[in-house]
Amino acid sequence: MKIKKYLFYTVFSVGIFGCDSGFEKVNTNPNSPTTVPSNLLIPDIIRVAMNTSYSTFNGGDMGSCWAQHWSKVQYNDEERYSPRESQIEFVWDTYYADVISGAKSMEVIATAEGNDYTRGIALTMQAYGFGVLTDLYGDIPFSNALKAEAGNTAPSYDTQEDVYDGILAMLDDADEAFDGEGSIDAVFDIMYAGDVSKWQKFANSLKFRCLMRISGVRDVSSDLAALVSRPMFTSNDDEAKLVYLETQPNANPIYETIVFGNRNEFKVSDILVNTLDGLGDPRLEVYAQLNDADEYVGKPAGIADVPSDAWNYNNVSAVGEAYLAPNAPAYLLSYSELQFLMAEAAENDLITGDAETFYNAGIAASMEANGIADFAAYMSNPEVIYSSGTSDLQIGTQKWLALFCQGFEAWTEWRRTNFPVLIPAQDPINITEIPSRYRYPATEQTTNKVNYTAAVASQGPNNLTTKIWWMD
Amino acid sequence: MKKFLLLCFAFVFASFTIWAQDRVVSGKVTSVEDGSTLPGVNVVLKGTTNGSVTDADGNYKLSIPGTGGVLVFSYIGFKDFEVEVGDKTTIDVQLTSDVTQLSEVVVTALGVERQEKSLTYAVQSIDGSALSTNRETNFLNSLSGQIAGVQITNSSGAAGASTRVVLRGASTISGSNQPLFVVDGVPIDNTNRGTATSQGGFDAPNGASEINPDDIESINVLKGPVAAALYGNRGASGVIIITTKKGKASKNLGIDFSTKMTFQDPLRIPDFQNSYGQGPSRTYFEYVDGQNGYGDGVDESWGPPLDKGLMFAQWPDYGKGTVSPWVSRPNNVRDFYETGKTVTNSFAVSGGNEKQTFRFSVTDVKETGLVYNTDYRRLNISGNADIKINEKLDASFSANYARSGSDNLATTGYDAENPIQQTIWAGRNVDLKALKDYKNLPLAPEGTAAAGTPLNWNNIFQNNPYWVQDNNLNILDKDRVFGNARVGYKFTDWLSAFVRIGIDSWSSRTEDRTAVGSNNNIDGDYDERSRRFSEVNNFFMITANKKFGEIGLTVSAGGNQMTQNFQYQRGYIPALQLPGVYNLSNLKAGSTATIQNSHTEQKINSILGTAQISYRDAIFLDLSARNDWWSVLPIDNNSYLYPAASLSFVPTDFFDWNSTTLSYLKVRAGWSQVGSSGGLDPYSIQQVYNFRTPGYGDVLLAFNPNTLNNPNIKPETTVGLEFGLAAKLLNEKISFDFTYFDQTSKDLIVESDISPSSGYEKIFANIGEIQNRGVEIQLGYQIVKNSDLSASINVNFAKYNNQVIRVNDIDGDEAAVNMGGQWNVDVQAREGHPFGVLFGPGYKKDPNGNVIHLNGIPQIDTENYRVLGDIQPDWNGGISGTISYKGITLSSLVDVKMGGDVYSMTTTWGRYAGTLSETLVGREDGIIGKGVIDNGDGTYRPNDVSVTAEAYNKAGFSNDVAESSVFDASYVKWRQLTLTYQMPRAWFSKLPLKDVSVSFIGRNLALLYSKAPHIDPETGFNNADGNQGLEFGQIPSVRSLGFSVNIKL
Repeated sequence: MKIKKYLFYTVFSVGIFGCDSGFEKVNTNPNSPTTVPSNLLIPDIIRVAMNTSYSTFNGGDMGSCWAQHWSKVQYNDEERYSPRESQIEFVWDTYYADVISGAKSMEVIATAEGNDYTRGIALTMQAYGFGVLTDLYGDIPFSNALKAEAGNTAPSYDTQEDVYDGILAMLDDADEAFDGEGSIDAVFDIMYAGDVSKWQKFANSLKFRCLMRISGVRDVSSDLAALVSRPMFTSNDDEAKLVYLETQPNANPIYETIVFGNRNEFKVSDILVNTLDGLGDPRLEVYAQLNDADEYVGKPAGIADVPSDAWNYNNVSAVGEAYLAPNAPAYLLSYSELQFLMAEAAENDLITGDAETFYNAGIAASMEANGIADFAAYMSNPEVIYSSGTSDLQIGTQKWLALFCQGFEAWTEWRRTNFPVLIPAQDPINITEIPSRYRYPATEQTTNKVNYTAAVASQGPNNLTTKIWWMD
Repeated sequence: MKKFLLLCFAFVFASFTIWAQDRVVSGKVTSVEDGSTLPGVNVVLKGTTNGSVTDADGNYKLSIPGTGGVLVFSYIGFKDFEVEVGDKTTIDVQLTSDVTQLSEVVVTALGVERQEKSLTYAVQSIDGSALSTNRETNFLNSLSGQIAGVQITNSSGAAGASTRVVLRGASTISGSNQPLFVVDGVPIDNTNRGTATSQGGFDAPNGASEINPDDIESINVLKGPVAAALYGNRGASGVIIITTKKGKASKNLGIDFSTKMTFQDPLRIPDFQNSYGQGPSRTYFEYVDGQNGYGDGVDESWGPPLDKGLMFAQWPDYGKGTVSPWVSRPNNVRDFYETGKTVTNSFAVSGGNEKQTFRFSVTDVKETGLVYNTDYRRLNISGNADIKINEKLDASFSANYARSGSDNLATTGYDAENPIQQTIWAGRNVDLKALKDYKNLPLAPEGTAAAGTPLNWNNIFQNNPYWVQDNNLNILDKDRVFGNARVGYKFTDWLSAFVRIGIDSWSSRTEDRTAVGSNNNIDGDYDERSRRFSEVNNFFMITANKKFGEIGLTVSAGGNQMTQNFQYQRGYIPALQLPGVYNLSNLKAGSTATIQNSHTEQKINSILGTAQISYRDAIFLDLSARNDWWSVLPIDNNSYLYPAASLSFVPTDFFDWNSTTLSYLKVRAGWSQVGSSGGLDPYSIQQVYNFRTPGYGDVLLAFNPNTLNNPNIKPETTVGLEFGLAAKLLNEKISFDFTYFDQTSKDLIVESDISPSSGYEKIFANIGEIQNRGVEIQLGYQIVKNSDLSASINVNFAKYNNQVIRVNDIDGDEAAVNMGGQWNVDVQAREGHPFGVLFGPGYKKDPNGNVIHLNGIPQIDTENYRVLGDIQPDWNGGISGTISYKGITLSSLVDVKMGGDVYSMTTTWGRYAGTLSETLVGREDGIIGKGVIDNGDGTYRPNDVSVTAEAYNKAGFSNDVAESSVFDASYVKWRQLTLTYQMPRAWFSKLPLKDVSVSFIGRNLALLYSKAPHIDPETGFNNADGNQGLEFGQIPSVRSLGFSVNIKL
């Protein structure tokens, strides 16, 4: 009897003290959800992508300056081809771990929900993100990327060609998904307010740009031909852009650094001013501000000893006020750029259509976006009037002008077309040509050494001048 | 027949009674030492339960049968005394105090008391009276220099600053490395919830500092894992056991009253230059509005020479069109500081009898800081009681209430709200004290960054410092209750058990105010945070204690159930609509408020057992094991066992050496494995989505965090090995204690970097490893001890090697984890280096280590950062001495830390700005920097190019290069001097006073040796690992002088 009692008490006390009953509930996080509706993930993906691309440290120093839209009157090491390692790292980290990873988890949730529309958005944004990364770095992890949860924390690199194939396949999936069934929450869709038709147009327009990007190394005519029957942008209303809010920290990154952060060293370049001025382009007064002497003056790219009497805060024109506004939009893909790509495609017989019509539409779209209603005089300028013989120069130059402040895209398209003709910066650091890519971040050498080494062996030395696949 | 038998019985009974006749024995019990009577002494007839107790006058009366028998007198703190009754009726007795019995009792893990000689691991004790005498507001500071291997770092001299305690060295990377604090057997929370960083925020006191030093009876430090094994997964960084004062029977009123007042001034402030004033120009200066004049917008002192009769418009001339003399103000920074004052009043009463004892105390501390309008206050009320309900059952409780707070805590680091940084940038001609009367000063005009706020010597980067201190407040209010209730039961004289419930519960509120017009945020802002914390421990233990001949056996088994809860709410408005209204509704139109909250909970269930086997009271073997089930770990792998074994051998007792030369010798050895709750928070298993703050306007931004949780995470483990030796020599005049330890901490939780292309930037992994080895030596010498004079010296010394072995699983890459930093310098746990290296930019050097110059300017290597130093000392120690003659006692303590480095940006910015004394060099003639010029062909020639002092200092001292501002942080401090006079009883024999003493106290009297210039090298932005070894604009440490009066009734 006594033994029974003691046994009971022992088991009882072990029962109270010795086990972990209820622990699962105790360790369930009451503050954050383990899953969210796919719609909720839309805004952060778009916002982080644009904040990264449009940051003056990324799209500015290593985009607009290299494309020679902008030129700096102080702190211009990056402009002279010495990029900041921390920013190279930041772009890689943020696009992978925030943008693409977020879009991937959104795709998984949307599939489980059966929401084809948000699944389409997720695929489009993954494709967009991978596109930005491969255009900047070249060969990148793609097929084995985003598998940390499954245990792969050091993925292998794919060739740029394979990455593009993957991107194109994703955009095809997205296009098909948008024809399915689903819903998009208008509040969380900060780009298109829930309009699925615009997303579909974006997915296809993006595919068009991707195909044109690789048109130099592959015959994309049949893909393009199949694409043109799909919905694409028809006006500026359709274009893919994020219109920012009025106040920091949700204002345009260019505004937040240059205006709110008082960093006035960002100015316009001489080739931009001279090109606009030479063509009598009404966009000059939108793209640039008058300097202290009431003139439009741009600065040549580079030059180590600034500010100086020759080039300083007072005598070089600042970037135009419209582009410094807090709610200035950040573009993923503009309608005018699409028109210029179509003009190029038509000129090269990759699609049917009249190149001149597309070209004029591109200029008109850019004028509209810049608030210029009357540009008839400009369109009569012989240098502006389209001519097949000078199509490369004209399309290239007009597209370059239309891409003002779209740092990454402007530099990328220049790398592809080499128009307009740009002279490398004066007093360049270490290299003497305009960079062709970003270096891989140094951390890849430690966290992903084997695959990094293989990628470098395959693509070429890990420096700024190695050409990437579609550049040849 | 029956009647006859009955009568016989009656006679026998009567004679028996006559034979065993009751008589009364009485007498008085006094103390041999001072003849005072002793109440509450147990008087028992040996072998019986017939006993009594002396009354308040020391008298006893006991009825005992017949003659014969032995009376046993026993009283705590005195040796037992036996006397044969014989045929006496009055027996007066004198008891001798048993000092050795008291002082050798040490409190070990879980409150188990042990004789010092039976300890098989390193434990060190401090008597509470030492803390009471020098009474630092934060009692942890009093431990500095007293115990070998215990490193105390007071973060700063600010009122309410935190203190860092590390026992033996770091054993975790992502955890806190501070020991577990236990009060009367119950763990309490020591977390520091301030917001201090190198770029702003404010430091707050660490949790344990809320314990009232006047309530502390003793502190026992369990230094390593062997001693702390019974604390299971919370024991890896050691344990500090605090025992509070309990009631005791007293023939007096038992009242203890004391009052103390100390005055503080800065121990050290930078050496400024006093020859050149504000501005960039050597010839001209003109204050227009503090921003747009000539040099008034420049917060540097490369300006015109002072004291040469020059006259310029300065800030007091604003709006008057006058000029004033351009003179030096060598004491302008010293005069900026106020004299700090701390007043402490303490009242305690204790009493009781052999059945019940109680103690009740109230202590009030009010401290004003060195910096204008900073303060800290604390009120402690505590009560405890102990009741012997009957022979078998006893109960006790202890409750402590602490109410603390501040109307303004100091801001740290490189932040416009920290007035100390302003003293480093301020023009050397500026009379800072004159800015105090800001209510009568004009306002800074439009066109300046400080527009609308009171005028200042500089209105572009700074605000009037007194206005900042009055308006940009960091407010703290905290209420805390901790204590326990316990019931114990004695089954037999060898089997007992007790249950105890312990609680630590606090709630706090902080406010961080920024006024409209502040340089940090011209719109003003307001941040309010509320926190609630509670930890409950339910504990039971059964102990059996029996001696089998020469073998003694003590076995205990028990269990603990811990529940911890934390709640947090924060409201933040980034811009104020109406100035001066600090309420979360006062949100400026168009801005978005940030609202955040969280709730975390965790539990640990444990069972534990310990056994001590002793042989002949000279060999002791300790075995213990504790198994913890921890809710934070993965559900199918959340149980871990922590064993320990240790052995000690006392040859002097075993072999009965009976030598006076070596009266005591003990050797001990131990091994254990303990866990660490470092770095693993609740909810680390599931992957969740977070929300960005603020959102995108009113659109919620859900996102997937960049760190991947590890569903297979394990707790950290520290395995420790310890050897020690203790001895008493030369008639117990010399005591010696030596310990060697070797601890390896592995499976340390590190946020390991992974390739972001995998979708995450980091993953939690059990990958880190740290090693810690060292020696600790404690030496005491009782020079003389007699009834009038006693003198003793104590020396302690510790040296250890605390290395980071690995932080990831890639070999040979010298990977590092950043724990904190300042500008371009990171404080890292770096493979192959001591824990806590300073990693940052240095100069370009030739192969011989000479700095390469180009055009006279030292060149910085911006691409390859390097290890510039580390925070680990080479050794540390202290010497204390006490001498006592009749009623006068003098004691002193010197505290030494050698080695370790500090990155002091006071030197960086002070030299950049031309305010420090070093910047006098070369002002007139230029500087030719010491170094070489690259010839371009692999050879170098000495530098011969002269540049201005300004150009040289700005190139060599800025956030771009840290090497020139990293200094050896060694110091020798005269930590304390106390002189106490215990007044002779004869002076107040007529009054009911029992004891009166007055003390003079000096604390942090002098920095006897320091290699780092301008600052006190004992510094940190707060007590976190990542904020050690860094300094900028430190609130100076304080030298404190004062007195206290203590009266016992």
